[in-house]
Amino acid sequence: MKFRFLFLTVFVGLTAVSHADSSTLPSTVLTYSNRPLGSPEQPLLFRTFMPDPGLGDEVLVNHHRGANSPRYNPKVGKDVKGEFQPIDGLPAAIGVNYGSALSYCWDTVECRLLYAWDEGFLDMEPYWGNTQRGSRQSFGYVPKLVGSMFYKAQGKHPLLLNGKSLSDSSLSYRGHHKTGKRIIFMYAAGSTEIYCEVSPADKKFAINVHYTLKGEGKLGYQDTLTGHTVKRISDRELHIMIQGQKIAKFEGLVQQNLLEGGVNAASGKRVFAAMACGTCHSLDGAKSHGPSLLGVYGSKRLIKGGKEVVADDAYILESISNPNAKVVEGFPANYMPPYTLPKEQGQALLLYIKSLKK
Amino acid sequence: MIYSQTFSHLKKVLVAVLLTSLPCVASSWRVETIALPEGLPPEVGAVQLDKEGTLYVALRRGDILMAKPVADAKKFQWKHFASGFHNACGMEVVAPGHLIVSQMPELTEVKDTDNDGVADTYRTMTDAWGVSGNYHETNEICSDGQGGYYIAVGTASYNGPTFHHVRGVYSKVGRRGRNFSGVQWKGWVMHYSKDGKVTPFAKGFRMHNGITRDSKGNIWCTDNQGDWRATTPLYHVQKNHFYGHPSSLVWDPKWPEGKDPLKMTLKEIDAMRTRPSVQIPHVQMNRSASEPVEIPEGFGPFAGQLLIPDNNGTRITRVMLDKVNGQYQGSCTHFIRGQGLLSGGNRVVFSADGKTLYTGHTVRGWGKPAEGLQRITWLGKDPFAVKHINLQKNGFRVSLTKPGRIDDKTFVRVRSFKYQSKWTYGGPMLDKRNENVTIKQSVKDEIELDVGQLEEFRVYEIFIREMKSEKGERLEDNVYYYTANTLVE
Repeated sequence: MKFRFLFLTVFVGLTAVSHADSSTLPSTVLTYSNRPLGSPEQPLLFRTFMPDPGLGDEVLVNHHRGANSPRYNPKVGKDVKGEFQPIDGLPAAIGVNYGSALSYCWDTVECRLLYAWDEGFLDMEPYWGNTQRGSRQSFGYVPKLVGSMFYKAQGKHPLLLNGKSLSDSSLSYRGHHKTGKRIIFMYAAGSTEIYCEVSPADKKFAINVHYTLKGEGKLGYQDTLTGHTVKRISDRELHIMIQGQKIAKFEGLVQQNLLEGGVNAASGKRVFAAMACGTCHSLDGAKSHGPSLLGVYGSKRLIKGGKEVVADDAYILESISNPNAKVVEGFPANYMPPYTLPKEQGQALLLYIKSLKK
Repeated sequence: MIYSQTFSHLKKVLVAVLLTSLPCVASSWRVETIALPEGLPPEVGAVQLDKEGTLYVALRRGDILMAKPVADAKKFQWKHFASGFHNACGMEVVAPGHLIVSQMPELTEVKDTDNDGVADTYRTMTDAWGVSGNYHETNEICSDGQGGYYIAVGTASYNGPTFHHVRGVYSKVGRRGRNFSGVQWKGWVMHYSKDGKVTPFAKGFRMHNGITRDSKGNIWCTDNQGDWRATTPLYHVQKNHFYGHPSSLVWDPKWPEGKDPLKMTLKEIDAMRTRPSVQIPHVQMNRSASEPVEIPEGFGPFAGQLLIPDNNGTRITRVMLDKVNGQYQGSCTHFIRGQGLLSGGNRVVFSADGKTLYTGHTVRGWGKPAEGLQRITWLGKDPFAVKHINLQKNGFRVSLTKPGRIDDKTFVRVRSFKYQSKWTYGGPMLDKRNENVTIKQSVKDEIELDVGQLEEFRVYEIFIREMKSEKGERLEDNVYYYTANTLVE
């Protein structure tokens, strides 16, 4: 009797997979979908790393410059051959989507609208991974743009405070208000607070930007781009309608043909990168979340439970598709997700791992 | 006959299965999985409760949900409270409908000002740290007890890149290394005071994905095994102390311009650093420590001790602190192991009555099972367990939750070893040795272990088998690790 009771308590927790009702949640709630969307009535305000569609240093004046960095091997505690290259991305920007009508990127560092597009928003696969595979797909975490870009900031901040571009002031982001479909960003130039509301315009490739000065001073507007209609409501309130035109089209994450050039170590290296294997498996002998792959092929592996096996073709393939079958001593079970790769991709990955000789 | 043989074999198997799971089955607590809304990735970045008992759950993709806990874990009525956070991994409650949330780029005050049940104001309290574009730079917060907050700002990882354009000053020297500090305050604990002033508080952290303030006002950080962390540490965080991971030093205002902290000798680093109060063996106890929490009254016999979930195991560690020569150190053991607990333990919060611990789980990219929301409830019956371990001049005093009995079968083994943190990812147990141990029992609910000459900076593994309570209950766990940074004078 006592045993039976114990069994019950052990299994109750394990079988729990039912879900609560989600019908009361707004449509903008983030789900497993890698293509989150808002609507004209319920915009989605979303913070993530944002794509940088080539904005340039003159727009990103308040950002600092990254640089190449030496590759480092923690096993020896020293730099090794090669360098890490920086990638493109905006570290602290906000993405807003009104469904197919409008998407825009507003930045908290430059305190301005950076770009706008429509007919789509973001493809989150590089950040959230592939739901089917349960893993990330890239080294970086920057989502891909989806849709047609029609505005991209150029030059200095277009808003002038007492005749001076805000690019020449010290800017600080203060936060935002969000009620219904209205989103208002708050920031300060020096100690003067400014509110900026961005909203869809009723024309194709157009966007409204409304500025309100909360302190003393006079607002002005100067943009090097054409297509702006400036409506001066008062010295402290401006309404801008930006009429853009199609600059570029984006398709989200384009699946590259990993096996271009055939099934070989070179294409296996692309599979390795695409599956982000390097997040857990080093190529330089250094220990990480998982064993290093340097010299792994053909080596003897001590498996949990005391058995020793040789890492041959079958072992490597099994470790990819069913990582819990043989867990190497010193590493946790249930840590690596099983990868179901197309057969040729698995073969290519195997050839790449074979090539990683000490 | 055949039937009965098979049956008896089956029974043996059943008994074997039960016995292997017995030492870790603490029947004094129940683990339940709380259902979150369908279709939402249950990546729980943070959990908190307000004074009205509403539970807030921050999901890492950006939404904050809320619900009033109910008896049936499957029937929570979830509502949407707030959205738009980049990897919210720290949360504190000011009042119902009024939260403080730490996300990758900032600390945000979130408020429902029109009382419609949905947040409308997101005020940036501070963005005084850099953002390099690396996925690993997450933050966690705890209250300072005076209206301000401590912010644990995590480092970046070389498993991800940094951007061409970063927020905040960039340091080429700080960017070097395995886990690194390419922009400001990565690897620091910052203090945000009630009046909004941000000051650096302590440095030398790697990935302190867990910070808490105990009822005595002490600040505790866990950290993650890796470079400069031989095993999983628990740190007592004190102002201006350095905790051994060198990269953060580049942001110390007193640090010489351009000096590379990774080029310091191990001897220099060891002389500068404050050691972990408790070294938690990585494989045996906790692979990836997250938020520590002090056990309140109402949750069983361990009030005042710390619990630390494992982000990479289906277990929670219990830490028994011991103050020796005015300094915290102590021991650890398992609290929950298995019992349906999910892996990916990340954040925890106790209900106001102390009876229930809510646990949020997430490990992104490592498969589905390690995420979700659970609760652990005290069932009211004390287990027979080691309640505390105090260092003595020549050994340890082990207190029990109930009177215990030592007999001929009782087996106690004490071994010791050292850890040396350095540039490598983790480090082995070094200089292992067996200690001679004699057991004495002068009081019913205590045993004294005499191991002769102790040595500072060693970790003592105490293994106890076949000790039963007076009523014949088995001892809850067998293994305890005591970190002896200082010895009884």
